[in-house]
Amino acid sequence: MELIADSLTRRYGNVVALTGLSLQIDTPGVFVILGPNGAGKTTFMKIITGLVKPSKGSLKINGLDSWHDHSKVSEGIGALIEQPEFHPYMTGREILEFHSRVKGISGIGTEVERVAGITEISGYLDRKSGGYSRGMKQRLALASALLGDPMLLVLDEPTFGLDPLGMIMIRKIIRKLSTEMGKTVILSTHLIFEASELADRVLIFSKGRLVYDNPSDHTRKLEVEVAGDASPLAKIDATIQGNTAYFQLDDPARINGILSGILKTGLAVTSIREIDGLEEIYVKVQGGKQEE
Amino acid sequence: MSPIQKTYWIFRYYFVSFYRSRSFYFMLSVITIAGAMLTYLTMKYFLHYSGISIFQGISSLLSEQQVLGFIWTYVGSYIPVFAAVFFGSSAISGEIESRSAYSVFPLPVSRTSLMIGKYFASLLAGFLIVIYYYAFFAVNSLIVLGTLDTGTFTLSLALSLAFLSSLLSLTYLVSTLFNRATYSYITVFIIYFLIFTALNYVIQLLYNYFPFYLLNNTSTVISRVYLNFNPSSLFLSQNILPLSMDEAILYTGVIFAYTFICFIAALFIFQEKEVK
Repeated sequence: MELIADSLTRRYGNVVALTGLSLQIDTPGVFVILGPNGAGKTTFMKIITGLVKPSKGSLKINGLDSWHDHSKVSEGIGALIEQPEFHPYMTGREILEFHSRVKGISGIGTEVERVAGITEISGYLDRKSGGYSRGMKQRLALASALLGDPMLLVLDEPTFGLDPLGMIMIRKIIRKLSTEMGKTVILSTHLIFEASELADRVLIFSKGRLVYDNPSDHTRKLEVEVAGDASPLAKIDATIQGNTAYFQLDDPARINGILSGILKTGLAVTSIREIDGLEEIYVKVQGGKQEE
Repeated sequence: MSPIQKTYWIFRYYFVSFYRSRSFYFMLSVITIAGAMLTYLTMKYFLHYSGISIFQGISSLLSEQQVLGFIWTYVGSYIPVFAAVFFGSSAISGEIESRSAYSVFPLPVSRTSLMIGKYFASLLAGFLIVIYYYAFFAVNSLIVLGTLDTGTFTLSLALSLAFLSSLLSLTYLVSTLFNRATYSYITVFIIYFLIFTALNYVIQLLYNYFPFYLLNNTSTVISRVYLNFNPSSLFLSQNILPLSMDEAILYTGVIFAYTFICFIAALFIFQEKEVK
């Protein structure tokens, strides 16, 4: 599977949703897109799945254009976009069977049971989807995306609306798809910890631009805020920003050494928390503030 | 899987969805009420139709079958309008508004297959509604007259279905233009009941010409196969004998022209339709 975005631009009237996005994805793994609302994450995913077309540039999957060759391209894609709804008078089973049929899957009954088992909706398959909760619809959408074992999964906030156990279950599925089944998963989320947990590569969007594209930084840090100047903590390998010190936590055992070092300085600690390396990067590339 | 097979599965899926929908049962309920009212009229007055003022003086020229057929099919000519609006107006706009487009449009099917499959599903759903109404008519005819003119009955039913196909194409076309089903419903009603009606009278009064090609005028063919009486025409008919076959063919041609032109236009717009 090879996805190439070349100078991809999308405008909605005067609003620029994506601008000059160039990107290549040609290896299995989980590619997490982070960004504030309006950063262009969903627009990018809609272009991949042929729901919108680029204003300029192109997006090709295995050499085929995502808009003009949509029906061919989407044979190898499983998609979950924008918390989809389903036809309310159809049961979950009928919906999955219909999706299986148009995807050209053989052994439909077995395949429907397989994806329903993975997403834990087997017990609800014969109920009409109009009666499903938001979380159940999200699971049904994920089950549909998994039908036919596609090489590329495009998942727009897949854990949205799910209860904590549902979120954990979906993250496990996504990791398994990537590590054990060699799939490529492009996923968007607002949750940095989720991105950090799942990502092999992190893409951060801001105002329609790709502003960060690197392998995931799984390192964690200890953020210590003190009353007054934190610079004395530089002696114990901290990065200082005003009254805050950041310590690398490559080795979790290091935490005891850091804490005893802080106590020796005699500084009054006002707050202490473990943060993700990605969180620091995210805040930095977004200019240090969240946008609407 | 071939595009034809995919189209078939789309048709089947959407037909079940339409068949189970509230719109379908609402339409059946409305037809039942209309059918019951006309049955009451038929049973109570029909055998004395010459007493109905509109037919006074000309009753000797008409057969009972013609009058009964005209009354039932004239009322019935509105059924395809409502069936098309209920099953067609939300075809595309409703999918986008309800967000079901996000689960269907990314599937590996062409927009052509999707629209054709869905169109025939809504056509079949509307077809069942029309047939249900005609069944009322047939039963009334058999009870009151003891017979049914199957030739004219079948022709009227076939024209009604052709008219349904043209209206569905129009509603699909309108549906591709919007992202909200309500706008589609309102626009179709405005086009059909206001714009076409206004055009009809403007053309007749200003140009002294009956615009047979307007969709609302073509619908009159459904009842005029029984009796050539057209309330929307300001010109008096030469006679009230049933429509000639040539005229029926002309109107049918107009109906199918709407069907194909509107459907092809809808398909063209749908190919470029985005789900923003």
